[in-house]
Amino acid sequence: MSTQVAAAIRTYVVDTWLSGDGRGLTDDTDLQEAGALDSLSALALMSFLEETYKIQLEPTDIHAEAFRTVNAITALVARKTASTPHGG
Amino acid sequence: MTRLDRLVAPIAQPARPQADAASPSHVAVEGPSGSLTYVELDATANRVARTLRACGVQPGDRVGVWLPRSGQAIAAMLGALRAGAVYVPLDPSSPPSRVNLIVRDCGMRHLVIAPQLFGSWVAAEGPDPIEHFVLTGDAAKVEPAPLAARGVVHAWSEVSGASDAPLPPSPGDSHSPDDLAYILYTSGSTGVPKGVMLSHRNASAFVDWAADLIELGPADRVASVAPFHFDLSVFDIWSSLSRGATIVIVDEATVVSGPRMVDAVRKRGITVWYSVPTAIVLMLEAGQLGIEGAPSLRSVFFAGEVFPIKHLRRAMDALPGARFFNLFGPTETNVCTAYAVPRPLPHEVTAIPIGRASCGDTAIIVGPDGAEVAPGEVGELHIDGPTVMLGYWDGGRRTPAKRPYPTGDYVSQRPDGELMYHGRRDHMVKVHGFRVELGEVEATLQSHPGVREAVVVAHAGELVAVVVLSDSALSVLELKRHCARRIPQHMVPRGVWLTPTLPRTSNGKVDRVRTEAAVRNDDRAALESVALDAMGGTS
Repeated sequence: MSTQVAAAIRTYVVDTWLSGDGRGLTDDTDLQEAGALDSLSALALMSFLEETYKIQLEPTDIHAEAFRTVNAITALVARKTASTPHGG
Repeated sequence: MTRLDRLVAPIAQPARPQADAASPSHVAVEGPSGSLTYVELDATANRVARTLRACGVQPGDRVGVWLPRSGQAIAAMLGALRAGAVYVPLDPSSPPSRVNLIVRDCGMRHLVIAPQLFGSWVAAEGPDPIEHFVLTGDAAKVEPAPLAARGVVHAWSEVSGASDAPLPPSPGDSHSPDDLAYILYTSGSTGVPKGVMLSHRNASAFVDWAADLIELGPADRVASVAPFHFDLSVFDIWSSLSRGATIVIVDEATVVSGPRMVDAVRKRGITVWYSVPTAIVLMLEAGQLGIEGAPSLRSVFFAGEVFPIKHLRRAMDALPGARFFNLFGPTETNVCTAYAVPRPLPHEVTAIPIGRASCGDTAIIVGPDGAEVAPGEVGELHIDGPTVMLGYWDGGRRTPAKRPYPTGDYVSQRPDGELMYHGRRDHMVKVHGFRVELGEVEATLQSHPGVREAVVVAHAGELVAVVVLSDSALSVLELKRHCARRIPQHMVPRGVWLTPTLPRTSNGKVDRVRTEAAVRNDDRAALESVALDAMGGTS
């Protein structure tokens, strides 16, 4: 599950923030330091995660560390899917 | 004409004849982590002023304020002014290298800095001319150790321990309204940010005009949405303090989310809102603005970019109790024209005016021959009056402003006297309300050794860079990282197109028009086919 999620997030990052060029991107790349993640991108990413994984992100979920790397975003999704009741 | 540092009354007395007396416990700044009453703000500003003076701040010195939006940041700006100094608000999201350019340009020796930014400042390379750091926290918690800084580090406990009595006037301080009050750095075409010098008189002309326009008073709760290095914040801070209103800080995590902004407006009872249209559109997209409304909101100012008319109509429908004002002006003239949007907005209206000259300014529309244009014709807007900046700091050369000041904006005057906006003269664009010189972004890209050529295009409110590499191994990720270390986040191009070559005009220059068309049409192939035509020598 989590490898699929990581792959989907990687694809999203490459398509929307890196103009399709995935060279150099690893799951540990610091996306903020790389200038890939600004506030509006963060907003779009939130919508993407909420719609794709049927999760509800709370204001407390949204902070710089949670969106720093593909791994961190994957972990956030895993945490939220575990805590969200099914059928919601 | 009052100086900004006199706007906050020492003890619960109205600073201005037109303001009502507020109680000592009246809140001046309601922040994300605690509030400051007017009495506390006044005392804290005095303590900051004394600390700065004890560190050797002289009248006219530039004091940097590199802090997130907060009561402490406002106290630091007020304190710097009370010490006779000039405050320079710095972007908390800017990389240290760009802040360093500003620090060196304005010869700054004193910096009020947040503990979380101090670590990145100390870790950054390059000359560090700061002699005194005032940390808005505890020095012991800072990583790496403050000893790594070349300057002296003063913890906030030192500020808290200073006397809160007003600083006696310094002999060198003229206390004139024409003194420089603050410097705002904007994007410059040469790759170096430009420092716009504004005096107390410049600021007051706008601060008073705007407060009068909406009869701002102690009952008002004014949202602080705009960053403090952005000129929209001059209203949020100084107009509010001048009339005893409460500044309600809407934090960074909230201003990126429509639902959270709507929630903040409602729960925190915000009455006055001033932002770029993008933020208002974000709130509309959240949906809730229309359904549940925000009944407390009575005045909405917007500026910085064109408000698409369909969204403006939706916003006015969603907020039936609010008056809407379109404010206009480059940083160099603060706000120089204004338009009160009529309600109802007639159906046939497709674009609203930027209005008429405001704040005591006069507007002249000048044609290419330097003479005033005939009525109705398009020309460049020139502004004269009290809001026109003193000039550019320019590395200490203090280049005075041209008067009347040519804004670089094309306008025309309607028969009813209202000015209509027709775009910019140069390569300056707005990205989410922030002013960006495309040349600065291009210069940043070209400073990478692996880049041969770069053209930056603004499309649909975003920046797209079209780049020709000399090192084909260079990735988009690495290019973005290169930019993010040198320019603020809003200037890092959203899209980066790598292309083998750029279209040329007949004289060999990069053909910006064709490059822009390719980006607009999302047609990367067009760039290459144009280049092939040129190489094939079909012309």
